[in-house]
Amino acid sequence: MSTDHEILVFAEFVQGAVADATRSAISAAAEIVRFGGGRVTLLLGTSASEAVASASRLAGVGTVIVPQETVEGVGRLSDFVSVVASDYTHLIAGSSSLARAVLPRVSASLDVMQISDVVKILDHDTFVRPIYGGSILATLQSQDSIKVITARSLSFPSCEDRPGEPAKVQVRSVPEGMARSRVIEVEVGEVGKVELATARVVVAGGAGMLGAEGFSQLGELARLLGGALGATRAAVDRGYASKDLQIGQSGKSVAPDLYLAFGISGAVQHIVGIKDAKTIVAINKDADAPIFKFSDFGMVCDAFEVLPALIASLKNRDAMRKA
Amino acid sequence: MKAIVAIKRVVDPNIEVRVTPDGMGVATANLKSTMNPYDENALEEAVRLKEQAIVTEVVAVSIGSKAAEEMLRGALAQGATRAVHVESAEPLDSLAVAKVLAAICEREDPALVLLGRQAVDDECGAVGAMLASLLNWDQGICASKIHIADRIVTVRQSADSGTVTVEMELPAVVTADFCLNTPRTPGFASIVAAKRAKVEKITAASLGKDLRPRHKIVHMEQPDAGRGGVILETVEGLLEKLKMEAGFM
Repeated sequence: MSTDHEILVFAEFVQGAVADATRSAISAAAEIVRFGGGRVTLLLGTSASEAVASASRLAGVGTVIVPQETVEGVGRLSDFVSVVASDYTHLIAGSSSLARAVLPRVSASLDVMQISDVVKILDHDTFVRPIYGGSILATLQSQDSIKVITARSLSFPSCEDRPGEPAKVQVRSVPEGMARSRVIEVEVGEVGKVELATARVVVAGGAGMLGAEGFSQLGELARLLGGALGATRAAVDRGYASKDLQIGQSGKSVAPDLYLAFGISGAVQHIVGIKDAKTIVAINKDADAPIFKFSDFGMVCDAFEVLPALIASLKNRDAMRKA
Repeated sequence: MKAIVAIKRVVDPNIEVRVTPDGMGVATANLKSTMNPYDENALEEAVRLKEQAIVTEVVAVSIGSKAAEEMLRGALAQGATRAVHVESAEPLDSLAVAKVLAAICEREDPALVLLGRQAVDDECGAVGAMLASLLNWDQGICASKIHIADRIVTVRQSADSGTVTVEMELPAVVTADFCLNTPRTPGFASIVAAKRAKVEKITAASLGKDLRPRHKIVHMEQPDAGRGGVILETVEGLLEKLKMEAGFM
């Protein structure tokens, strides 16, 4: 066995609770420990007592490092993380919008190359990550002294809370620096709207939906299923759906339990964005559409023949529940 | 006010790439290439800022082999005022690219650097924030809206859920999300003019930075996305299947 690895996990919180992305990052850190031993330390950017308390209850975390005061601003936060991380062999964060802003800054100041969106860990220095929109999986070995990694949340299990004693908490001073950029507005999406990236059900349409009217039917189905609405690039380009609904290589990746594809031919750029879905169901009137090869089951027919029946069946279910 | 737009040449995202027979790389030779789509959004935004007279000069910069020059002419046709080709025979990783761009920024002294949120080939999504770090500048990441007034840039950033809008003083690095704008198609006259335009050249090695790769490729493979593909005949059959197998309805 090689030397012990000292793994620092950058923690994020959603309303005081440890973020799912962070729980996955801790599981990824635990995998590195399995390859040659080591310890997992959690680094917080906030000193809020609620966050510190929930962080110290996580399984597998030895120490929780808390800043003397909450670190404001991406630049200053990155400086703080860089100073702490310089004593570690690994820095891991979940793939999130904050990690996207902070970790490359940390990598550059430590003069190391970041390893983004890791989906599998093969050794303490060897990682698998998707490239070309997920159509290729690359295994690479990092030769940097500190491995700075973002871990894809859906690829690692969520770490549990621990029973018994909480982890010990260490307070670190924050280096001087200016918090220059200011957050002026945070918009938390529409209330009740299911986010595409984390939806359990996604109802998506392609060019075969023929227009915005078709998409409003898909939207109704998505709502009845408690899911999110998505679209292919072909549908977005034709103006049937807005750009933020785009799934695939130049849009979002989804990993729902159920993916319903209506009027989607199945271009490779779309498939790479949906391949992590548990069950894929395709409805397309062209029997030769490639989407059927990538589906668990499908039906060769016009989307507009199936949609009303599905919507009616769900409305009927809701009515029976109410009764 | 000068803006730099960093653009990368990538394989046309509409083409399905394959792993080389030795499983050590991606077979990109002879495939149609194009400007990285997110960089196209960055360039479009810079050109619009120039049209609004907020930016006076748009310098397109690309790093790579001879073929990058062709793409830079495309950027000139789209409205860039100057083009700088940083020659590098070897592909560079994000850290090396950020170092090269930082060196270019020191020479050019721009107020704003725009680039795509990530390249659609290696998908690291790291260059923008790395560059901001090396320059000790502020940053906006995954911009879906940019507004500049009185040397303050306001950036609406796409976040995990919703958006986060930040404001900062220039200079700054801003990376473009695909919903920032719809890039224009250049007209015939500007394409012809760009063919005659000068593309400035500089070699990456002459910048005196440590550009060696930090990762070694161990293996590459194509995941098999194929599934069962059971075809159902009736809507009732479909409903039944959704109920039984997927646990929905």
